[in-house]
Amino acid sequence: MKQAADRINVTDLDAAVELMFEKRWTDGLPAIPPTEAAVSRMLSYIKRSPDEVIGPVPPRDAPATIEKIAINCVMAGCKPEYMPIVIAGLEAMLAPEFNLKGIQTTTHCVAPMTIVNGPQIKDLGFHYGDAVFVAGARPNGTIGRALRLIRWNVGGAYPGETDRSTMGHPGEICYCIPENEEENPWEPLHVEQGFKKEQNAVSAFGCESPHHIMTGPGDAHCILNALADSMAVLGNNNTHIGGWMLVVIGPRAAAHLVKGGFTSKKQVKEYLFEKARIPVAKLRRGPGVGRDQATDAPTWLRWPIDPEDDDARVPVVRRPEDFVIMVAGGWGAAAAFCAICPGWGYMGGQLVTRPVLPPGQK
Amino acid sequence: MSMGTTSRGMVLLDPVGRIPEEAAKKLSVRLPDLTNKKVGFIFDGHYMAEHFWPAMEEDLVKRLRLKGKVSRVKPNVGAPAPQAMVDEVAAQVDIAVTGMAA
Repeated sequence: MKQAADRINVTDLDAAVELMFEKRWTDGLPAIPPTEAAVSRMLSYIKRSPDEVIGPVPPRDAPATIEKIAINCVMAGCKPEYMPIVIAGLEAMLAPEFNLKGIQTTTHCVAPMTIVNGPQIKDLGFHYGDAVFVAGARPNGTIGRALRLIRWNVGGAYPGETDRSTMGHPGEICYCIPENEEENPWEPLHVEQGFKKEQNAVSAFGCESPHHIMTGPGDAHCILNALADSMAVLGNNNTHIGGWMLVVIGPRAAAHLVKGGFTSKKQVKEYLFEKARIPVAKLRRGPGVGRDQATDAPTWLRWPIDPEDDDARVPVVRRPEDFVIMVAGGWGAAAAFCAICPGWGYMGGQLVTRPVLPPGQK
Repeated sequence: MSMGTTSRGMVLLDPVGRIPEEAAKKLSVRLPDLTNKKVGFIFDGHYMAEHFWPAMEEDLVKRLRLKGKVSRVKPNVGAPAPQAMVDEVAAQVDIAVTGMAA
């Protein structure tokens, strides 16, 4: 199998690890040495030409070839059977509407999250329960890591250079979670996006780090009110310029919501849309990011309200469907728990879902 | 031996993406003189530069004795200009100025 990547000889494992740091092949964490043998195993599994290009990865816009993806998968510690998921995740991130170039270079702390759906969750042993955001299983950890290394090594987004994120967040180094489809009482995320439940799919979503929300022991409205109140704050981009927001609902909260009459994600989204609003008087005290070119007014005033009415309320997303809802995480004990992940605003990072194709298919 | 080590050591494959040489060296055409040329401006629309950018446009037209200008504002501050906008401006001008301001 023809491989085009440059080769570097090192004496042993220690030298390999040090070389990867020296050459800036990794972002501060150690990596698995991408040996010829290990990369060949990846390429043998995927059955696609090493020089096939999935797309240019911004901001460098270097082509992500199957070979480069395989090398970065090895470095991340992926098994060969994870590679189709990494490819699909990258395809989702490279969709124009995701605007990876903006996400990789903005001063905001948005990072691409990968969400996994379908039978592959069980087949490959993803972890979707307690502490879901800290990985806890090899596929969560290494697939998220591989996509980070591709954005780093192929995309070339280096902090302080082309990556201008002022704060960043820890999710950047590994941000991959599956949905808990088993305890999801509603449609799984990929089904909402038009896929069949038995299909494997991966979604990309650009967002801040997860904000943990304690949603109480059980009442459905209390759960949603806690979420809504946590969303409607000054300082997140959604409040000021709209866009999309991810809501990760714990399985216990999901069960209580259904018990309380919220039998569809649509109902949950509509309730949050009505409740997650911020008064004009409060917005005026905030940063006011985003101004209308024609009127010089803050963009939140594009929402049809009376700007002189202090009590008028602006929703944190501009349409109910701009909430992305999934089920994951642990059951909890005295209370149910959820998380919200504010997005980057309307500029990009919207949910994009792609199918995971078997080896040899494209 | 483990980790791909041989008696000669270990061979690693470079994970870094490279721009093909021919693409990296491609530069846009440079005009020898701007006098009486028509210029296109594509502004990202960032609010931090919404007063600066129009003033800069006017200043450049005057100072460089340009024939005229075509101004457009990107619909999305954080994304590249739509190709249709780029093509529409390119069809009308001799040179174009694009920029980010944050």
